[in-house]
Amino acid sequence: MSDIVGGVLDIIADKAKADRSTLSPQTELSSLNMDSLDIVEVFFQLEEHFSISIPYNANDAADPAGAGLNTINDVIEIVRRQLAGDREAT
Amino acid sequence: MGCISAVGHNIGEMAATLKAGRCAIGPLTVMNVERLIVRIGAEVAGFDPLRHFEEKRVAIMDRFSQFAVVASRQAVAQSGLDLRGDLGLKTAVILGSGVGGMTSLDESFLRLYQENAKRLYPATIARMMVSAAVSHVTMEHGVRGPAFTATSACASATHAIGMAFQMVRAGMMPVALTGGTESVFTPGTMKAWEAMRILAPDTCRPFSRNRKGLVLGEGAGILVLEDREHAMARGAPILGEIIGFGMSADAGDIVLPSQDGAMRAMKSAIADCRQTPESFGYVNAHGTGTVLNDVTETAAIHGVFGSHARRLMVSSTKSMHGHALGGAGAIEAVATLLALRDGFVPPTANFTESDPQCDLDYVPNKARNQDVEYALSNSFAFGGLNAVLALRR
Repeated sequence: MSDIVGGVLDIIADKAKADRSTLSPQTELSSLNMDSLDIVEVFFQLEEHFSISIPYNANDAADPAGAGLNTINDVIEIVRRQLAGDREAT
Repeated sequence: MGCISAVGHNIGEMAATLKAGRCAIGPLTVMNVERLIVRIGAEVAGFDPLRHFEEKRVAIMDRFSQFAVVASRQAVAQSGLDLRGDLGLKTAVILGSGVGGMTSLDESFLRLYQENAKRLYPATIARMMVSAAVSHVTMEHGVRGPAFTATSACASATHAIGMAFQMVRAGMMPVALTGGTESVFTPGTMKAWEAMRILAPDTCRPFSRNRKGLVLGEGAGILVLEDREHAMARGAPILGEIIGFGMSADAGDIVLPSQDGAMRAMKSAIADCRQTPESFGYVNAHGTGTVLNDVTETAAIHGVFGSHARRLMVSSTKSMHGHALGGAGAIEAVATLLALRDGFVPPTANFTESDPQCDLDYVPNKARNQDVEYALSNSFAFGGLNAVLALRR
Protein backbone atom coordinates (compact mmCIF):
# COMPACT_ATOMS: atom_id res chain seq x y z
CA MET A 1 0.00 0.00 0.00
CA SER A 2 1.68 3.17 -1.15
CA ASP A 3 -0.02 5.08 1.66
CA ILE A 4 2.27 3.39 4.14
CA VAL A 5 5.41 3.90 2.07
CA GLY A 6 4.44 7.50 1.32
CA GLY A 7 3.66 8.26 4.93
CA VAL A 8 6.93 6.81 6.19
CA LEU A 9 8.99 8.61 3.55
CA ASP A 10 7.23 11.91 4.31
CA ILE A 11 7.93 11.65 8.01
CA ILE A 12 11.55 10.62 7.61
CA ALA A 13 12.19 13.29 4.96
CA ASP A 14 10.82 15.88 7.34
CA LYS A 15 12.82 14.73 10.37
CA ALA A 16 16.07 14.21 8.45
CA LYS A 17 15.58 17.49 6.58
CA ALA A 18 16.26 15.49 3.43
CA ASP A 19 14.93 16.00 -0.06
CA ARG A 20 11.92 13.66 -0.28
CA SER A 21 12.73 12.76 -3.86
CA THR A 22 16.13 11.39 -2.86
CA LEU A 23 14.64 8.89 -0.41
CA SER A 24 13.53 5.38 -1.14
CA PRO A 25 12.82 2.24 0.89
CA GLN A 26 16.39 1.17 0.19
CA THR A 27 17.88 4.27 1.78
CA GLU A 28 20.13 3.42 4.75
CA LEU A 29 19.07 5.21 7.92
CA SER A 30 22.69 5.77 8.88
CA SER A 31 23.17 7.87 5.72
CA LEU A 32 20.57 10.36 6.90
CA ASN A 33 21.19 13.30 9.17
CA MET A 34 19.36 11.88 12.21
CA ASP A 35 20.60 11.24 15.73
CA SER A 36 19.05 8.86 18.25
CA LEU A 37 16.55 11.43 19.52
CA ASP A 38 15.47 12.09 15.90
CA ILE A 39 14.82 8.36 15.44
CA VAL A 40 12.66 8.37 18.57
CA GLU A 41 10.76 11.36 17.20
CA VAL A 42 10.21 9.55 13.89
CA PHE A 43 8.55 6.74 15.83
CA PHE A 44 6.40 9.32 17.63
CA GLN A 45 5.28 10.79 14.31
CA LEU A 46 4.62 7.34 12.86
CA GLU A 47 2.45 6.40 15.85
CA GLU A 48 0.49 9.65 15.62
CA HIS A 49 0.07 9.48 11.85
CA PHE A 50 -0.90 5.81 11.57
CA SER A 51 -2.65 5.53 14.97
CA ILE A 52 -0.50 2.60 15.98
CA SER A 53 1.73 1.72 18.89
CA ILE A 54 5.27 0.63 18.04
CA PRO A 55 7.19 -1.27 20.70
CA TYR A 56 10.53 0.33 19.89
CA ASN A 57 13.18 0.41 22.60
CA ALA A 58 16.20 2.60 21.87
CA ASN A 59 18.41 0.13 23.69
CA ASP A 60 17.49 -2.68 21.29
CA ALA A 61 18.36 -0.53 18.29
CA ALA A 62 21.89 -0.11 19.56
CA ASP A 63 22.40 -3.86 19.34
CA PRO A 64 22.55 -4.75 15.64
CA ALA A 65 21.23 -8.21 16.43
CA GLY A 66 18.25 -6.56 18.11
CA ALA A 67 15.84 -4.33 16.26
CA GLY A 68 17.48 -4.66 12.83
CA LEU A 69 16.80 -1.07 11.86
CA ASN A 70 19.04 -0.44 8.88
CA THR A 71 17.00 0.88 5.99
CA ILE A 72 13.81 2.86 5.54
CA ASN A 73 12.22 -0.39 4.42
CA ASP A 74 12.84 -1.81 7.91
CA VAL A 75 10.76 1.07 9.26
CA ILE A 76 8.04 0.48 6.63
CA GLU A 77 7.86 -3.17 7.69
CA ILE A 78 7.46 -2.23 11.34
CA VAL A 79 4.53 0.05 10.45
CA ARG A 80 2.98 -2.64 8.22
CA ARG A 81 3.24 -5.20 11.04
CA GLN A 82 1.64 -2.91 13.58
CA LEU A 83 -1.20 -1.97 11.21
CA ALA A 84 -1.85 -5.63 10.49
CA GLY A 85 -1.54 -6.85 14.08
CA ASP A 86 -3.30 -3.68 14.93
CA ARG A 87 -5.01 -1.73 17.68
CA GLU A 88 -3.38 1.21 19.30
CA ALA A 89 -2.59 0.75 22.98
CA THR A 90 -4.75 3.18 24.93
CA MET B 1 22.35 9.43 57.52
CA GLY B 2 18.79 8.61 56.60
CA CYS B 3 17.20 7.02 53.59
CA ILE B 4 13.83 5.89 52.33
CA SER B 5 13.66 4.18 48.97
CA ALA B 6 12.52 0.98 47.31
CA VAL B 7 15.25 -0.92 49.13
CA GLY B 8 14.07 0.08 52.57
CA HIS B 9 12.24 2.61 54.68
CA ASN B 10 15.35 3.17 56.78
CA ILE B 11 19.09 2.58 56.79
CA GLY B 12 18.90 -0.80 58.51
CA GLU B 13 16.50 -2.19 55.93
CA MET B 14 18.53 -0.67 53.14
CA ALA B 15 21.79 -2.21 54.29
CA ALA B 16 20.18 -5.61 54.58
CA THR B 17 18.65 -5.38 51.11
CA LEU B 18 21.87 -4.25 49.47
CA LYS B 19 23.85 -7.00 51.20
CA ALA B 20 21.34 -9.57 50.03
CA GLY B 21 21.52 -8.17 46.49
CA ARG B 22 17.74 -8.05 46.42
CA CYS B 23 16.15 -6.16 43.53
CA ALA B 24 13.23 -4.01 44.65
CA ILE B 25 11.85 -3.40 41.16
CA GLY B 26 8.33 -4.69 40.59
CA PRO B 27 4.87 -3.90 39.24
CA LEU B 28 3.77 -0.35 40.07
CA THR B 29 1.09 -0.17 42.75
CA VAL B 30 1.27 3.48 43.82
CA MET B 31 -0.38 4.74 40.67
CA ASN B 32 -2.95 3.81 38.05
CA VAL B 33 -1.08 1.95 35.29
CA GLU B 34 -3.99 1.68 32.88
CA ARG B 35 -2.54 3.98 30.24
CA LEU B 36 1.03 2.83 30.65
CA ILE B 37 3.00 0.53 28.41
CA VAL B 38 5.83 0.18 30.93
CA ARG B 39 4.31 -0.75 34.27
CA ILE B 40 7.29 -1.43 36.52
CA GLY B 41 9.22 0.74 38.92
CA ALA B 42 11.15 0.76 42.16
CA GLU B 43 8.59 2.31 44.45
CA VAL B 44 8.63 2.98 48.16
CA ALA B 45 6.09 0.29 48.87
CA GLY B 46 3.65 0.51 51.72
CA PHE B 47 4.37 4.13 52.62
CA ASP B 48 1.54 5.64 54.62
CA PRO B 49 2.15 9.36 55.18
CA LEU B 50 -0.31 9.39 58.09
CA ARG B 51 2.05 7.12 60.00
CA HIS B 52 4.62 9.90 59.83
CA PHE B 53 2.67 13.15 59.73
CA GLU B 54 -0.58 14.63 60.99
CA GLU B 55 -3.32 14.94 58.41
CA LYS B 56 -3.08 18.72 58.28
CA ARG B 57 0.59 18.50 57.46
CA VAL B 58 0.16 15.82 54.81
CA ALA B 59 -2.26 18.15 53.05
CA ILE B 60 0.53 20.62 52.34
CA MET B 61 3.31 18.14 51.54
CA ASP B 62 3.87 16.42 48.23
CA ARG B 63 5.22 12.87 48.43
CA PHE B 64 8.73 14.08 47.54
CA SER B 65 8.70 16.39 50.58
CA GLN B 66 7.35 13.62 52.79
CA PHE B 67 10.29 11.37 51.84
CA ALA B 68 12.79 14.15 52.49
CA VAL B 69 11.45 14.84 55.97
CA VAL B 70 11.28 11.16 56.92
CA ALA B 71 14.89 10.61 55.82
CA SER B 72 16.01 13.81 57.54
CA ARG B 73 14.48 12.64 60.82
CA GLN B 74 16.53 9.45 60.67
CA ALA B 75 19.72 11.32 59.85
CA VAL B 76 19.35 14.03 62.46
CA ALA B 77 18.35 11.55 65.15
CA GLN B 78 21.38 9.43 64.42
CA SER B 79 23.67 12.45 64.49
CA GLY B 80 22.58 13.38 67.98
CA LEU B 81 22.61 17.05 67.05
CA ASP B 82 20.17 19.58 68.43
CA LEU B 83 19.55 22.02 65.60
CA ARG B 84 16.92 24.15 67.22
CA GLY B 85 19.25 26.56 68.94
CA ASP B 86 22.34 28.48 67.89
CA LEU B 87 23.74 25.58 65.89
CA GLY B 88 20.68 25.63 63.67
CA LEU B 89 21.40 29.23 62.75
CA LYS B 90 24.68 28.02 61.33
CA THR B 91 23.39 24.87 59.68
CA ALA B 92 22.77 24.71 55.94
CA VAL B 93 20.13 22.62 54.20
CA ILE B 94 20.85 21.87 50.57
CA LEU B 95 18.87 19.18 48.81
CA GLY B 96 18.67 18.11 45.21
CA SER B 97 15.51 17.38 43.28
CA GLY B 98 14.89 17.13 39.57
CA VAL B 99 11.26 18.15 39.29
CA GLY B 100 9.88 18.55 42.80
CA GLY B 101 6.20 18.07 43.54
CA MET B 102 5.27 16.24 40.37
CA THR B 103 2.41 14.29 41.94
CA SER B 104 0.75 17.52 43.03
CA LEU B 105 1.34 19.12 39.63
CA ASP B 106 -0.01 16.13 37.72
CA GLU B 107 -3.15 15.93 39.87
CA SER B 108 -3.61 19.65 39.48
CA PHE B 109 -3.45 19.48 35.67
CA LEU B 110 -5.88 16.57 35.71
CA ARG B 111 -8.37 18.72 37.62
CA LEU B 112 -7.86 21.72 35.37
CA TYR B 113 -7.62 20.20 31.90
CA GLN B 114 -9.55 16.98 32.14
CA GLU B 115 -12.16 17.74 34.79
CA ASN B 116 -12.44 21.41 33.82
CA ALA B 117 -12.41 22.34 37.47
CA LYS B 118 -13.16 25.98 38.15
CA ARG B 119 -10.52 26.17 40.83
CA LEU B 120 -7.41 24.39 42.06
CA TYR B 121 -6.44 23.50 45.59
CA PRO B 122 -4.94 26.47 47.44
CA ALA B 123 -1.92 24.41 48.51
CA THR B 124 -0.98 23.51 44.93
CA ILE B 125 1.93 25.91 44.50
CA ALA B 126 3.29 25.26 47.96
CA ARG B 127 3.26 21.51 47.29
CA MET B 128 4.73 21.47 43.80
CA MET B 129 7.57 23.96 44.08
CA VAL B 130 10.93 22.21 43.71
CA SER B 131 12.21 23.85 46.89
CA ALA B 132 9.32 22.63 49.04
CA ALA B 133 11.26 19.65 50.39
CA VAL B 134 14.03 21.89 51.69
CA SER B 135 11.51 24.21 53.30
CA HIS B 136 9.84 21.33 55.10
CA VAL B 137 13.16 19.96 56.31
CA THR B 138 14.12 23.36 57.76
CA MET B 139 10.73 23.56 59.46
CA GLU B 140 10.96 20.01 60.79
CA HIS B 141 14.28 20.58 62.52
CA GLY B 142 14.12 24.29 63.24
CA VAL B 143 17.15 24.92 61.03
CA ARG B 144 17.59 28.58 60.15
CA GLY B 145 20.84 28.76 58.19
CA PRO B 146 21.41 28.92 54.42
CA ALA B 147 18.90 26.72 52.62
CA PHE B 148 18.00 26.05 48.97
CA THR B 149 17.55 23.34 46.35
CA ALA B 150 20.04 22.36 43.69
CA THR B 151 18.77 20.89 40.46
CA SER B 152 20.53 19.09 37.64
CA ALA B 153 18.23 16.24 36.65
CA CYS B 154 19.79 12.90 37.57
CA ALA B 155 22.77 14.56 39.25
CA SER B 156 20.79 16.92 41.50
CA ALA B 157 21.49 15.19 44.80
CA THR B 158 25.18 14.71 44.07
CA HIS B 159 25.50 18.39 43.21
CA ALA B 160 23.63 19.28 46.42
CA ILE B 161 25.87 17.09 48.56
CA GLY B 162 28.94 18.43 46.78
CA MET B 163 27.93 22.03 47.42
CA ALA B 164 27.20 21.35 51.07
CA PHE B 165 30.53 19.55 51.39
CA GLN B 166 32.41 22.47 49.86
CA MET B 167 30.67 24.95 52.14
CA VAL B 168 31.46 22.96 55.29
CA ARG B 169 35.03 22.33 54.15
CA ALA B 170 35.47 26.04 53.50
CA GLY B 171 34.44 26.77 57.06
CA MET B 172 31.25 28.56 56.15
CA MET B 173 29.25 26.43 58.56
CA PRO B 174 29.98 23.50 60.85
CA VAL B 175 26.96 21.41 59.86
CA ALA B 176 24.86 20.82 56.76
CA LEU B 177 21.86 18.64 56.04
CA THR B 178 22.13 17.52 52.45
CA GLY B 179 20.96 14.90 49.99
CA GLY B 180 18.09 14.66 47.56
CA THR B 181 14.55 13.52 46.97
CA GLU B 182 12.27 12.60 44.10
CA SER B 183 8.89 10.97 43.55
CA VAL B 184 7.44 11.02 40.05
CA PHE B 185 5.16 8.01 39.71
CA THR B 186 2.40 9.85 37.87
CA PRO B 187 0.78 9.09 34.50
CA GLY B 188 2.15 12.30 33.01
CA THR B 189 5.72 11.53 34.03
CA MET B 190 5.59 7.88 33.06
CA LYS B 191 4.17 8.63 29.60
CA ALA B 192 6.86 11.25 29.06
CA TRP B 193 9.57 8.77 30.00
CA GLU B 194 8.01 6.09 27.78
CA ALA B 195 8.25 8.50 24.87
CA MET B 196 12.02 8.52 25.14
CA ARG B 197 12.06 4.76 24.54
CA ILE B 198 14.69 4.05 27.17
CA LEU B 199 12.54 2.50 29.90
CA ALA B 200 13.18 -1.20 30.38
CA PRO B 201 10.03 -3.30 30.24
CA ASP B 202 11.54 -6.13 32.27
CA THR B 203 14.02 -4.90 34.88
CA CYS B 204 17.19 -2.88 35.26
CA ARG B 205 20.32 -4.78 34.20
CA PRO B 206 23.21 -2.34 34.21
CA PHE B 207 26.23 -3.47 32.20
CA SER B 208 24.54 -6.71 31.13
CA ARG B 209 24.50 -7.63 27.46
CA ASN B 210 20.71 -7.72 27.04
CA ARG B 211 19.90 -4.62 29.10
CA LYS B 212 16.91 -2.69 27.90
CA GLY B 213 17.16 0.61 29.68
CA LEU B 214 16.34 2.22 32.96
CA VAL B 215 13.68 1.65 35.58
CA LEU B 216 12.43 4.65 37.53
CA GLY B 217 12.63 4.73 41.30
CA GLU B 218 11.72 7.16 44.08
CA GLY B 219 12.85 8.12 47.53
CA ALA B 220 15.11 10.39 49.54
CA GLY B 221 18.55 10.20 51.08
CA ILE B 222 19.85 12.66 53.65
CA LEU B 223 23.34 13.06 55.10
CA VAL B 224 24.33 15.16 58.07
CA LEU B 225 27.68 16.64 57.13
CA GLU B 226 29.77 17.97 59.94
CA ASP B 227 33.15 19.63 60.14
CA ARG B 228 35.54 17.00 61.42
CA GLU B 229 36.86 18.97 64.41
CA HIS B 230 33.33 19.87 65.41
CA ALA B 231 32.27 16.22 65.19
CA MET B 232 35.22 14.84 67.07
CA ALA B 233 34.98 17.45 69.80
CA ARG B 234 31.51 16.22 70.69
CA GLY B 235 32.28 12.53 70.22
CA ALA B 236 29.89 12.25 67.29
CA PRO B 237 29.21 8.87 65.70
CA ILE B 238 31.19 9.30 62.49
CA LEU B 239 29.83 7.09 59.73
CA GLY B 240 32.21 8.03 56.94
CA GLU B 241 33.78 10.98 55.21
CA ILE B 242 33.24 12.96 52.06
CA ILE B 243 36.69 13.92 50.87
CA GLY B 244 36.26 15.30 47.38
CA PHE B 245 33.86 16.55 44.77
CA GLY B 246 34.18 16.98 41.02
CA MET B 247 31.87 18.49 38.45
CA SER B 248 31.80 19.02 34.72
CA ALA B 249 29.50 19.80 31.83
CA ASP B 250 29.56 17.89 28.55
CA ALA B 251 28.44 20.80 26.34
CA GLY B 252 27.31 18.00 24.10
CA ASP B 253 23.84 16.58 23.74
CA ILE B 254 20.64 17.16 25.70
CA VAL B 255 20.27 13.44 26.40
CA LEU B 256 23.33 11.52 25.19
CA PRO B 257 26.25 10.94 27.58
CA SER B 258 29.86 11.95 26.97
CA GLN B 259 32.94 9.97 27.89
CA ASP B 260 35.01 13.14 28.10
CA GLY B 261 32.58 14.89 30.44
CA ALA B 262 32.35 11.87 32.72
CA MET B 263 36.13 11.49 32.83
CA ARG B 264 36.68 15.14 33.71
CA ALA B 265 34.22 14.95 36.59
CA MET B 266 35.81 11.80 38.03
CA LYS B 267 39.35 13.15 37.62
CA SER B 268 38.26 16.36 39.25
CA ALA B 269 36.85 14.52 42.29
CA ILE B 270 40.03 12.45 42.63
CA ALA B 271 42.23 15.53 42.35
CA ASP B 272 40.05 17.39 44.84
CA CYS B 273 40.71 14.79 47.53
CA ARG B 274 44.42 14.69 46.70
CA GLN B 275 44.45 10.96 46.15
CA THR B 276 45.57 8.95 43.16
CA PRO B 277 43.25 6.78 41.07
CA GLU B 278 45.02 3.71 42.47
CA SER B 279 43.76 4.47 45.98
CA PHE B 280 40.20 3.75 44.98
CA GLY B 281 38.63 0.34 45.40
CA TYR B 282 35.00 0.90 44.49
CA VAL B 283 32.94 3.03 42.13
CA ASN B 284 29.20 3.33 42.66
CA ALA B 285 28.37 3.87 39.01
CA HIS B 286 25.69 6.05 37.51
CA GLY B 287 24.88 2.76 35.80
CA THR B 288 21.35 3.44 34.56
CA GLY B 289 21.14 0.29 32.47
CA THR B 290 20.86 2.02 29.12
CA VAL B 291 23.13 0.79 26.37
CA LEU B 292 24.70 4.21 25.98
CA ASN B 293 25.35 5.15 29.59
CA ASP B 294 26.89 1.86 30.58
CA VAL B 295 29.25 1.76 27.60
CA THR B 296 30.23 5.39 27.94
CA GLU B 297 30.73 5.17 31.69
CA THR B 298 32.85 2.02 31.31
CA ALA B 299 35.07 3.78 28.78
CA ALA B 300 35.31 6.80 31.07
CA ILE B 301 36.36 4.64 34.01
CA HIS B 302 39.05 3.05 31.85
CA GLY B 303 40.17 6.51 30.84
CA VAL B 304 40.46 7.71 34.43
CA PHE B 305 41.91 4.65 36.10
CA GLY B 306 44.03 3.13 33.33
CA SER B 307 45.33 -0.29 34.25
CA HIS B 308 43.88 0.07 37.76
CA ALA B 309 40.39 -0.13 36.26
CA ARG B 310 40.77 -3.93 36.13
CA ARG B 311 41.24 -4.03 39.89
CA LEU B 312 38.28 -1.76 40.63
CA MET B 313 34.88 -2.96 41.69
CA VAL B 314 32.16 -1.06 39.88
CA SER B 315 28.51 -1.64 40.65
CA SER B 316 25.21 0.02 39.95
CA THR B 317 22.84 -0.03 42.88
CA LYS B 318 20.18 1.34 40.52
CA SER B 319 19.78 -2.34 39.68
CA MET B 320 18.09 -2.64 43.08
CA HIS B 321 16.60 0.77 43.95
CA GLY B 322 15.91 1.97 40.42
CA HIS B 323 16.78 5.41 39.08
CA ALA B 324 15.49 7.89 41.62
CA LEU B 325 16.41 10.87 39.43
CA GLY B 326 16.95 13.89 41.69
CA GLY B 327 17.17 11.58 44.70
CA ALA B 328 19.52 9.08 43.06
CA GLY B 329 22.78 10.74 44.03
CA ALA B 330 21.76 10.78 47.69
CA ILE B 331 20.51 7.20 47.83
CA GLU B 332 23.71 6.13 46.11
CA ALA B 333 25.91 8.19 48.42
CA VAL B 334 24.22 6.43 51.35
CA ALA B 335 24.75 3.05 49.66
CA THR B 336 28.43 3.85 49.16
CA LEU B 337 28.87 4.99 52.76
CA LEU B 338 27.19 1.81 54.00
CA ALA B 339 29.56 -0.22 51.85
CA LEU B 340 32.60 1.55 53.26
CA ARG B 341 31.36 1.35 56.82
CA ASP B 342 30.23 -2.28 56.79
CA GLY B 343 32.96 -3.74 54.59
CA PHE B 344 30.82 -4.96 51.71
CA VAL B 345 30.41 -3.98 48.08
CA PRO B 346 26.79 -3.95 46.86
CA PRO B 347 26.26 -5.94 43.70
CA THR B 348 24.92 -5.08 40.28
CA ALA B 349 21.74 -7.11 40.44
CA ASN B 350 19.94 -8.81 37.54
CA PHE B 351 23.23 -9.43 35.75
CA THR B 352 22.82 -12.16 33.17
CA GLU B 353 25.29 -11.98 30.32
CA SER B 354 28.51 -10.07 29.82
CA ASP B 355 28.58 -7.26 27.26
CA PRO B 356 31.88 -7.21 25.37
CA GLN B 357 31.84 -3.42 25.54
CA CYS B 358 31.48 -3.48 29.33
CA ASP B 359 34.47 -5.34 30.63
CA LEU B 360 34.97 -4.28 34.23
CA ASP B 361 34.27 -6.13 37.48
CA TYR B 362 30.64 -5.17 38.09
CA VAL B 363 30.20 -7.39 41.17
CA PRO B 364 27.41 -9.32 39.50
CA ASN B 365 24.43 -10.40 41.58
CA LYS B 366 26.15 -11.17 44.88
CA ALA B 367 27.48 -8.60 47.31
CA ARG B 368 31.14 -9.04 48.13
CA ASN B 369 32.62 -8.92 51.61
CA GLN B 370 35.53 -6.61 51.09
CA ASP B 371 37.00 -3.68 52.96
CA VAL B 372 37.34 -0.64 50.76
CA GLU B 373 38.85 2.60 51.90
CA TYR B 374 38.16 5.03 49.03
CA ALA B 375 35.18 5.09 46.73
CA LEU B 376 33.63 7.29 44.07
CA SER B 377 29.94 7.85 43.47
CA ASN B 378 29.05 8.94 39.94
CA SER B 379 26.09 10.91 38.63
CA PHE B 380 25.95 11.76 34.93
CA ALA B 381 22.75 13.59 34.08
CA PHE B 382 20.74 14.31 30.96
CA GLY B 383 21.97 17.51 29.44
CA GLY B 384 25.55 16.57 30.24
CA LEU B 385 25.72 17.72 33.85
CA ASN B 386 28.14 15.53 35.78
CA ALA B 387 28.89 15.31 39.48
CA VAL B 388 31.13 12.87 41.32
CA LEU B 389 31.73 12.44 45.05
CA ALA B 390 34.86 10.92 46.56
CA LEU B 391 34.23 9.17 49.87
CA ARG B 392 36.35 7.50 52.50
CA ARG B 393 35.62 4.97 55.21
